[in-house]
Amino acid sequence: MRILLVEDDASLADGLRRALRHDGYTVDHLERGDLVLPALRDGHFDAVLLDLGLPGLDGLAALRQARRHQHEVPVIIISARDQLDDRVIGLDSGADDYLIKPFPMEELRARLRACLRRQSERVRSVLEVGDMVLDLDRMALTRGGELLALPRREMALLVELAGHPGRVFTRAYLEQALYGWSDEVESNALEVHVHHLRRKLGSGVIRTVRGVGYCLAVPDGQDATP
Amino acid sequence: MMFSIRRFLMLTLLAVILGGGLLLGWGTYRTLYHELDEQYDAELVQSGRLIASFWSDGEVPDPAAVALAPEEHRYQRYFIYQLWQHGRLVLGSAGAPEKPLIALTGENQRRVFIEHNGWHVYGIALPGERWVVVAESDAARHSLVRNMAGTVLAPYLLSVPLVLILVALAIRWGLGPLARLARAVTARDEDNLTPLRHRRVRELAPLTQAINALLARLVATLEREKRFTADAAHELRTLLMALRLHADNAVELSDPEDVAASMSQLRRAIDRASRTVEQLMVLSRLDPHGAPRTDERCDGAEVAGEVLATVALLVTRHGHEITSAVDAPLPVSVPAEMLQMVLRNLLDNACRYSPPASRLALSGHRDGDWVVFVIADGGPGLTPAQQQRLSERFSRGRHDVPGAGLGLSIVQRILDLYHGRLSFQLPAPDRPAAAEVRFPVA
Repeated sequence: MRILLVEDDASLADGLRRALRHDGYTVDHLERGDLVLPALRDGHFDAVLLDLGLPGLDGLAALRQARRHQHEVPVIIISARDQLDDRVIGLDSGADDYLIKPFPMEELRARLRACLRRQSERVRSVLEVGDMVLDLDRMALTRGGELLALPRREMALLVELAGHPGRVFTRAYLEQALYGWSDEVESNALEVHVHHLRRKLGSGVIRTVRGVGYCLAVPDGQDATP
Repeated sequence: MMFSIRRFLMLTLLAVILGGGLLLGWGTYRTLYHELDEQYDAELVQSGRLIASFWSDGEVPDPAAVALAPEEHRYQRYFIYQLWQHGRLVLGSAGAPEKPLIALTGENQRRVFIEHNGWHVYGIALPGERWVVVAESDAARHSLVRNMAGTVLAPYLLSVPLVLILVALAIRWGLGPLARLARAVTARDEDNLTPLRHRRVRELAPLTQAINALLARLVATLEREKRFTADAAHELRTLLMALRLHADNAVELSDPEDVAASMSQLRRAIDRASRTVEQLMVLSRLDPHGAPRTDERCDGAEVAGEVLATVALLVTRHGHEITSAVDAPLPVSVPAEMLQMVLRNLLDNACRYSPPASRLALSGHRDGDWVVFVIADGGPGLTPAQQQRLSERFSRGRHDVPGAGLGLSIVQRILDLYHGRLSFQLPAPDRPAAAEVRFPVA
């Protein structure tokens, strides 16, 4: 899951990035509002966390601009502006949610999960594949009732694939979802993660679609989600 | 007793009306009396001549021919005549005294006219030591003139109450806009500070304008306070958010590098919060309404020295070098702590916004009626647009530089209070960027 964080307060941005990265999200950070649209145009993001008072272009204007350009990515406004008017205008401008600073991190996490859930049209966020149960919200994987700890990027890859079992994800898409702009990406990094996952979860779990990418194998008897 | 425009106008008008009436009456009386006097004197003379012409020598006229029956006419005048011959009264009208009314001498003075004791007397000397003397009393003339003056004055005086009532109504009507203005002002409270409607009354225009100007200033002040509160709340929320986030991260994150970074961020956020709170306190203490004591002064050189000592740590932390050249003594008419605040904030900004290892310089000298401090730094300088934006609260030059953005608002507030001025110089090939602040010399 790749998140675009647009926040001009360096300290706050650093804290949010660390917390979200810890949760398994890939976080890219922008300080300027006028860079939001180019960022959305250039890459795929699963959600945007948007501050309002931004240099370059105000958050609201950036949001309207993005919506005008048909970007449907979920946007959560995080702002210290707490007036009813601000919230209403924010939501009416196309935000999916509005959080007033200071907010507890748990709330941001929950709202982010809710946004992502709505985006993928899932009601539950628990996915069962064979004897594996993947809790997308908590990013927790259990196998036969036993918690299986996975490194951050492997978990992120699994969550990405499990979001739409059966759908083929391109390598470029998966690489973007796993690595932020500032991360160094080895050319075979994705293969390495897939290799590790197969070793840990069984070779049949992830299918390679040659020349395109990967998909999560749908076990017999389970319908592929759209 | 309070001065009342209504009472003043009423009393003044009453005095003017009555005084005018009296003047008019007196003037009428005097003029009429004078004219009538002339007229009646002429008639008296004519009567005397008439009698004289009918009195031929040796013959006595018939008294009945000239006597007027009592009460024959309303303005019948009290008229008497005497005919003298050889010093003897030949004929006298009813009520005429036995003595001559004038001295019957004056051979060379043929005609005599005198006014005496309310009597107008005319004597004509005729040949043969004869004298015709006619006389008339003032009384009739006075009564006539009084009547005429009264006729003119009476309607005037009778109209006074009516006039006063009309005047009272006019005053009430005329002062109506004032009463309505008072009601409009009374109706205003802190929630309704909209300008007063402009009335088409010339006399009220300055008052309405003054009140509206005051209201506008009040609105601006309230607006500024509101914006300041909102700005401060916004800033504090962001600060709290950072504190909470870093604290949470320090507890929840597992990566030791993350934990260490969170702890250091937490400390920095606490520093920033305390600095912000401190500056907010300073700003609120610098109440723009509290008139500063203008007699406060300090030695600029001494203050500059203290400030240099306090910023020394910050200067070395950024790897800068600072030189100072301040003339001593340098009396400035601003309190020491205020000048200290201004210089510290400007030096602080110079440290923060200059590239590492810059050369900073603080200089101070007297320039006519001003004491000028120049803080030169190695930064890119400030464009006028940036200067404008930076004096707004919580506005920061660069977002990667820590600070609350309150420094220049504090400086600006102090400058406003103590009549100081601040200007910025962009860097040029021959000189670095600089901030120049000046205060009146003490």
